[in-house]
Amino acid sequence: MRQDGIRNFCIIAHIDHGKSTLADRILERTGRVAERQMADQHLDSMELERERGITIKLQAVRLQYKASDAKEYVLNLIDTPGHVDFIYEVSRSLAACEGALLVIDASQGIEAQTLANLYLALEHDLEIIPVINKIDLPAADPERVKRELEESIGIDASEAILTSAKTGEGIDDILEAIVERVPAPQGAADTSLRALIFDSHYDPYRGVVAYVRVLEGQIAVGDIITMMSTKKNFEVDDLGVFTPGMEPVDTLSAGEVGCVIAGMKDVKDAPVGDTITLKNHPAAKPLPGYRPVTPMVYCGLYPVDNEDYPALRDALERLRLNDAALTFEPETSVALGFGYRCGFLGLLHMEIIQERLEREFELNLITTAPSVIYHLFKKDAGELIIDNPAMFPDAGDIDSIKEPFVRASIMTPDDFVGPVMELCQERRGIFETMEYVTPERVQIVYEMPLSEIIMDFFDRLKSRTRGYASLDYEPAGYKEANLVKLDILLNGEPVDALSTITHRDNAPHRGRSLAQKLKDVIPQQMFEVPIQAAIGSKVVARETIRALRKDVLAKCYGGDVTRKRKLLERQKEGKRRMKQLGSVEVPQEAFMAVLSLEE
Amino acid sequence: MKNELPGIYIHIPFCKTKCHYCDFVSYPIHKSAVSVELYIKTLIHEVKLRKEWLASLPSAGIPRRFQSVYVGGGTPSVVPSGLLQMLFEELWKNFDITDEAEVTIEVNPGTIERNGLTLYRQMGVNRLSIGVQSFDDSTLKKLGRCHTTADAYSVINGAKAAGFRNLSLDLMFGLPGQSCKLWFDSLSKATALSPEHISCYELGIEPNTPYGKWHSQGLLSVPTEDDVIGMMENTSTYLGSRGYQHYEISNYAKPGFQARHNSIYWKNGPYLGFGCAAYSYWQGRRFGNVNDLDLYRESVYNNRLPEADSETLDIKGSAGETIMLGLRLRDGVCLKTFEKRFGVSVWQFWDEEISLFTERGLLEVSSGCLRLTDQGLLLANQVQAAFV
Repeated sequence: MRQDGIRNFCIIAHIDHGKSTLADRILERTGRVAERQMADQHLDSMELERERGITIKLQAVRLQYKASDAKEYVLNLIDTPGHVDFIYEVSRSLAACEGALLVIDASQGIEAQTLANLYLALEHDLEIIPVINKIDLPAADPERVKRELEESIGIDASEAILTSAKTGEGIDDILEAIVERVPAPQGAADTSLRALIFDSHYDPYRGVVAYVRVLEGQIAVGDIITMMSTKKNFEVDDLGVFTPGMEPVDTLSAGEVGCVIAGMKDVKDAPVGDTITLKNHPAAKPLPGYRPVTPMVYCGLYPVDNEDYPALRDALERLRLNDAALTFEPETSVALGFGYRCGFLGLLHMEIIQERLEREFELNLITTAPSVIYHLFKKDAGELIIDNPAMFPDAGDIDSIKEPFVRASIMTPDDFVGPVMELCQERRGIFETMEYVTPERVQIVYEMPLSEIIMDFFDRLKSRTRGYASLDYEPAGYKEANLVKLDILLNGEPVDALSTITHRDNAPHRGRSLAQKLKDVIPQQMFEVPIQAAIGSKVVARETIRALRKDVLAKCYGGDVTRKRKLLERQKEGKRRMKQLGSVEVPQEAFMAVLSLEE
Repeated sequence: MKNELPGIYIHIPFCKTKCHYCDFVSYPIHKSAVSVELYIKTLIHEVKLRKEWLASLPSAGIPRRFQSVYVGGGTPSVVPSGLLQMLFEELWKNFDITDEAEVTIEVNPGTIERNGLTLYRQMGVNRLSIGVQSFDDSTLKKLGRCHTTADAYSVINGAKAAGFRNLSLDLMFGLPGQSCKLWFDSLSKATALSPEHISCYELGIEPNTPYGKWHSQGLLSVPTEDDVIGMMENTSTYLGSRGYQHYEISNYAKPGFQARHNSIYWKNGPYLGFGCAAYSYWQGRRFGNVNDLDLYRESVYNNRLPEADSETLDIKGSAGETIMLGLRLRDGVCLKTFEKRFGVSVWQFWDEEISLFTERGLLEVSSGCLRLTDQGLLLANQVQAAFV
């Protein structure tokens, strides 16, 4: 295929600004709608899926478009996820494109996520086509959005395309703009293969399906390929493109987008960001930007009912098939029994896994507060790597502790510079740089302890900037810090699963907030329950949950029996979902309480 | 045994006005599409349908003689006595109701006709449950009641004059703005009238009521939990010293005057309910009539029983309900009766639960009955939940 007939692009947008509807319209206009509907039906049918031998993930769709210059073009639309946890995956998708549609809601205007994604796209030198969507809405104000485009991001607003994905207005203009403005791919086809893996997933029938953009060279069915990060070799069984059903092809050449199936058993065999080359004719260097996925955040996952422990292991194994970033190791807690210490990319990733375990696998789980990995140096010279606060040795045995830092880059409108810097200082940030990207947009860079970022930093940042700030961060090594373990005692008994690591100066304050929060989330028991926060043997905060004294319904006559019984059944079910720690019943959210403390 | 005989409940879903705290099924009498007269005629038809239904059932050991009739609501006293008499005649014609049956009508002091009480008496009503709620006029006003204390005195004295020898007064505590003093003032005024039976209900704030709304907006200043507990405990002592036995969570009676009809509920015994939204429990099946007046009437006139929902529990479910209900009684659940009825002992089902709550001092076995202790009474839900 000739490269000048190919355009690779993605759509970036703030959530709800109409990305998927716009994608649907583009598919429709390029004659893919009938097939797409078919594909949807196929997705619903297990039998057909088995016949086809592949599950469909609309990760990259190939469109045929006859432009006004009467030439046929192949347009590859590549999907992008959209959260800071997956920012690396987003960056790899962007690296597979030459252009991006920047979709903005004509009634909402530019929002934080729009900008975060836009800056990422600019970093990859993508051609940006601004699209002002939803112009059919009564509240649409495209002129305001145009001004915003020019003033806040310096994009020539005359280039913006006005569209309504709902009515179909402007879709042709978008397709023409893609052809005219997005550069054709340029890599040489006759050199060593370098193909970028921008996503992968595990298919139960075919093994791993790797989504690739061929930057240089060519890949063919039957080739022996090498993953440049792992040096592992595989033979290519199948190549395909999505239209949107998978169509097999014999080769994929420089500039093309498609998928590779090569007997890979584990998504770790096709890591996102890795470069595929040929065993017999390898490239000298991989493509830039590969970063092995390493979990940044750890937490304990425990079944409420200990009998579910094997089911939890099975479920985690199933999820890991499709998620290279998820790690888990068995661990035990005095309070919670047997469980797993799991590693995640970030908090959202953690929440997604937790929710999938509960929803898809019907597990009733307790998640402990997330932790980072600490490096401890003991007085008797040993070094410990610890990802669980409960495993901290006695303070007296510790010589020094190092914790992971990140370089946090925050983009914010200049009105919020003060509040953002204040927040970073509160979270032990070390100021690095501040620069005006445009007269109104500021980029602030801080070095911050990762542990402070995972403590609801993103939510706080959003609330202090009315949602406008965006955050990205990258690891910045380990630094020594004055940290202590904060223990929680319920009814006089320490609960290991509630221990957290915190800076010594913040410990008393955090202890007080945590004790108060626990008092709010733990329901009254039939006896008084003291809650204490302690550093070593020193109690820094104390609260008391008063005993439940009255819980009785005044009336129960003939018509009330069923209602009353159902009420009591719900009460009982609520108890079942709680963890019995000694004689105290503790709800699941108590173990996450440290994440939502009052400031 | 007489106390194992079933009861009959008749629901009158009309009220003159709706009280601020009430979430029962009731319709404003003057705005209702179905007139009271039409409703009573429908009820009469349902009585006939239900008789045919009963005749078609295998006997299953439940006696078909009834020991009580209870007319509740809503506000039954909004029904003109003549209509009620028609209903009663039909009821007695179609069902075998014992001569000694307890026949109760709920009476709202604001709605009773002048000669109504005498007519009730002539119809065979032998017990009145009077919704006094409070002997303080400003409290009544705040509750949205449509009567005054003077109305209450007039009904109570009128009932005695008409020959009633079994009166029950309903009172409420834990009300917004109600001090302990104000509550005991009402209670002493009640005992001064020497009724045979007193029900003392703690106000429950239900979400879909004006009270629920005001409470969520912070507009109600309800007494503290400690105050309410104080009211409960002192009420039991106060009434106990005046000859009223505390026999159910909210009910007190002079010896021999425990509510027989309501005791059927608490012993999880059989009863048939008639009327819109009325519930029945028969041969282990609990079923309810539709809430909607029009649907109720339509169904009955098409000769269909107006059942909207129905549930039959397994043995353990029924046994659990029996404990849940029985623990409301101060005497608790008679273990022998329980074993005879379910063929197992309570320990076979709930050994662990019973020992846990016994250890905590909330439950005890005394005189062959499983019952809540005084402390357990206040935490009844916590204990009952273990059995459902």
